[in-house]
Amino acid sequence: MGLWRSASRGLRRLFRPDLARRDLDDEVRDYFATAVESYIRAGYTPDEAARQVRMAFGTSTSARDEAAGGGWEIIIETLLRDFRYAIRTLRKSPAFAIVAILSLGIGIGATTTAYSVIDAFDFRPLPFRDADRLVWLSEITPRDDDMCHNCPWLTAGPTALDWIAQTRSFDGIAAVQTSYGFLWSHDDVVESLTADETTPNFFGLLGTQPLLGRAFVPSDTVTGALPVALVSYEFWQRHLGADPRVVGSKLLSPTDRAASVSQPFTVIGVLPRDFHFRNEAVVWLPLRLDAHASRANRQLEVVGRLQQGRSIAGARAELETISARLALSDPKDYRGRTATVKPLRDLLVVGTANGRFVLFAITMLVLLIAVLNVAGLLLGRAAARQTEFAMRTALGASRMQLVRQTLVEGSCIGIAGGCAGVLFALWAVRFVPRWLSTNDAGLTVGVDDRMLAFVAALSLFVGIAAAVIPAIRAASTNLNGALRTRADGGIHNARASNVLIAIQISLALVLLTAAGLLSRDFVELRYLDLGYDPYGLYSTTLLTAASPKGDPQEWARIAEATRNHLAALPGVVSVTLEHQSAIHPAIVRAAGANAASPSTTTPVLKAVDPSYFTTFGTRLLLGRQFSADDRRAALPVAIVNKTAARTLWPGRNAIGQQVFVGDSTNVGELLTVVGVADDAERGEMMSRHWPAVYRPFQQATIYHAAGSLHLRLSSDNASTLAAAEAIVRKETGTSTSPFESEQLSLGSRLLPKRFNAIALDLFACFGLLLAAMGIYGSVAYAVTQRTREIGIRIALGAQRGAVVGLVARRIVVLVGIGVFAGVASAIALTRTLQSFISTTSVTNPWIFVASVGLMLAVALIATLLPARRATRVDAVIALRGD
Amino acid sequence: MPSANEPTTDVIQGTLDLLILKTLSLEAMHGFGVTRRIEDITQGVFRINPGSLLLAFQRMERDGLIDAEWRTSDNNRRAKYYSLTRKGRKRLESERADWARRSGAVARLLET
Repeated sequence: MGLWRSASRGLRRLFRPDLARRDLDDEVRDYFATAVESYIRAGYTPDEAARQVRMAFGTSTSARDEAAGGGWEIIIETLLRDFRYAIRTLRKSPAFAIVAILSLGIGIGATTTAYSVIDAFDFRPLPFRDADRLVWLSEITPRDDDMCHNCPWLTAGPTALDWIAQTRSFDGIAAVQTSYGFLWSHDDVVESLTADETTPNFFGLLGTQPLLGRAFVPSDTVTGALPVALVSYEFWQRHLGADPRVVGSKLLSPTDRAASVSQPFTVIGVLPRDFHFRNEAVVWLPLRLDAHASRANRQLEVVGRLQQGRSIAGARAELETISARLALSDPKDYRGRTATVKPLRDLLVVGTANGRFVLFAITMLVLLIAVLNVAGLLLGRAAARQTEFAMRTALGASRMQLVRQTLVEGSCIGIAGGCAGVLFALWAVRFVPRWLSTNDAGLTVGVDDRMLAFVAALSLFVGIAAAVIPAIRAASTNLNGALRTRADGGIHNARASNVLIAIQISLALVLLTAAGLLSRDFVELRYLDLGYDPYGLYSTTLLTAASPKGDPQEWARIAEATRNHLAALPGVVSVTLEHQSAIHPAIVRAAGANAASPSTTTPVLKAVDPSYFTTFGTRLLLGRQFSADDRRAALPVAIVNKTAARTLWPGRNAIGQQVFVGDSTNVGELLTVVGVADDAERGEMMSRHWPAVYRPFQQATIYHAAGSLHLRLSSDNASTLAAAEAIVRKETGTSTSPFESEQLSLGSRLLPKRFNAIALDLFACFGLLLAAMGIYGSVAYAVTQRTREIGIRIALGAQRGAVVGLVARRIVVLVGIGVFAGVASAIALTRTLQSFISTTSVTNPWIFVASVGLMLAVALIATLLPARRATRVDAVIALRGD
Repeated sequence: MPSANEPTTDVIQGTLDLLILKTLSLEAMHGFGVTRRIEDITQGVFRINPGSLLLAFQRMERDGLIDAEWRTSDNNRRAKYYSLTRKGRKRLESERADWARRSGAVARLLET
């Protein structure tokens, strides 16, 4: 009852303040009138009675004010009043308000965006049913695991069957064999699709129900069963016309995966839109694990669902026991191997958590600078408002009120900054999926209630944090001093703002250095020597329909015919074939080298045409190109790249040396090196300086029926490309993928780096700008504060330089301290960036020198601009002022 | 009527509620009536600040100890009359017992 009364009275007073106030006014007036009457009745004249009442009870106004001070709603009312006052004062200085709000807005927005990424990747449950019980199981060697903790180490089918049969920790274990090319023929063209094979229980294990039709059942995998397939939502939308009657229709495949029988797949279901698992497979086929398959053939990713209450450690122990048993019974396949169980998240969100946290840390750094900056601004304002505060104290405002007022002003800025930040984050979040591969795990990054809660908490915290120092200053306002003169207020404030500026400078320097490193890396990759010329270069994958058994020789014949036709096409400058196998040959090393030298990386071996280096625009550093004379019967030759020449024959001339290539130490070929080519960046950034060995296509072993074809065109001519595609289609009987511009694919490969570089550059510019503003504000403030002193000095004959020195000296010291601290922390912190950088070292001294130089230049400008004003102080006006 | 010469004192912290409850237990009263009654009975020892009194009224009303009602007073003036609720009476009993216990303890302490 009491609670209800209290709430209803409070609410009434909050929302109908006029009624409540009138009620109280009436009561007070009545009280005083009755009091006066009683005095009159006691014999006083009306005037005397009123005087007596005032003496005895005080004035009616103060009584009313005191009586109005009760109840919980007063706190809210006071806060609202403080907020209104804060907004009013902020509106009176719009420049300050805008700068402060934008600073915090960008800082909060950046942090929020980074947080949304971390939230999606690392905190939110994966988009599967009871995802915390999902784990992945893999065979590993301890060394592999050390080298790459989150790599998808693969498992052999029979091992997975052992796990299924012998473990007790799991509700189920499923296996996936990923990314197998599947040729789909429709409308007399053949396309290459990505297909995954999964054990029938896979979708049930993840808790995924098909949108249409059914998932796999065990009978789909028995010999002679109807070949069935599930398709992805996108594939169904794009290629199957989103037909709701698609279940039961046929997908034609010209080649069956194992047998050489052409057999159509029957579509039995469409997967839901948001289903993704590791890659962009569009078709899923049922997989049967074969107990008699080779135990050395490890191709499966294995996923398990832990039983309720079972731990990962317990499951791992079970797997380790099984591995130990296998190592005894089958040492050939299992020696040195064990098995492990890890959260599924570790597999899906591949090892870039570090990068995400670095990004988050950097945005926090930006936010920190922004907060320090706003604190500095508030401090400057507090100093300017010292007289106001002193006046209010003199008029009866308590210290608590002043502190509360300052904090409320801070949170006002914080909340407004938070709103700006949400807008910024809404905009920035759209870029995230392009930059981090969110689709692999089916993750979505977006602004949701969690993020808004994060922003709300962050904004309030940040606003109040920025106001803490000024609030402390406000609390210790010295009435006497402040009212008498406004000259000495600056000294205490100066100490606090000195610290703020020094910290800002050092933080901005850390940002600058990090941005410098990443930008340089990007610029180097983008514009500097790639080792080849991506402009006018087009590539495609070459598959053939006419070699159904995947006969490599047949493929090679068709490929060469296609290449010859393309070379004759007008507009084509040159064309080359390229063939390489991911697994063959197992050994590529300098002839006669010690077999057991595990430290050197195995070079890649590519079979290429004589026109290869011309087509790519890769320079030959030594020796000769391949020629038409390097044919099958002639001496087997090779060209190595610079890195291979250096690692295979350190300190020696590579020309004339021999390379051994083969699948075992006894069976192989010796190639004589006739040339050394420049390193060319092709594919992953990290692999530019990977050793490579090239051999003539005509002399090479063709391992499988696939390869790529590269064209250099004289101009970017769509009709030439169309003609080239027509030739490929005619010769190979497939439509394969269209020619892809190397320039564009290079751009998309560089996109994440570009994004990192641009984002960090923006952050750094912002940090630099804020630091500059801090310096500018502080110097400008010092100049205003000391106008009178400067006037006296000028009147006494001080020179311009001396006057500038007077106001700038402090900043010089601060910049010195800030730069020193900044360089030290940058050296310590930028180490974490090494994993993002491929071309330069994080300790590159020039980046540090350049960052410090830029920081100093900006600091100099920010100091001199306001300091010059000091020299223009007119002695007469300054002395007359005040 | 307290004279300006006699020493007066502010109400002992925490006893204002007790005094109000006791005063209102006799009859419903308006604000100034409560002041007068307390001053009369204590012979002007306690001086009631109207602000504190009205604040206490509000608080006690919210706690459900007293009820308020606008009425016309003896001399035809509209005044807000306060009266004790059942809960207020109970509170008065417990406060009174509490006070007796405490003041007794203090008195004993001072006598020894």
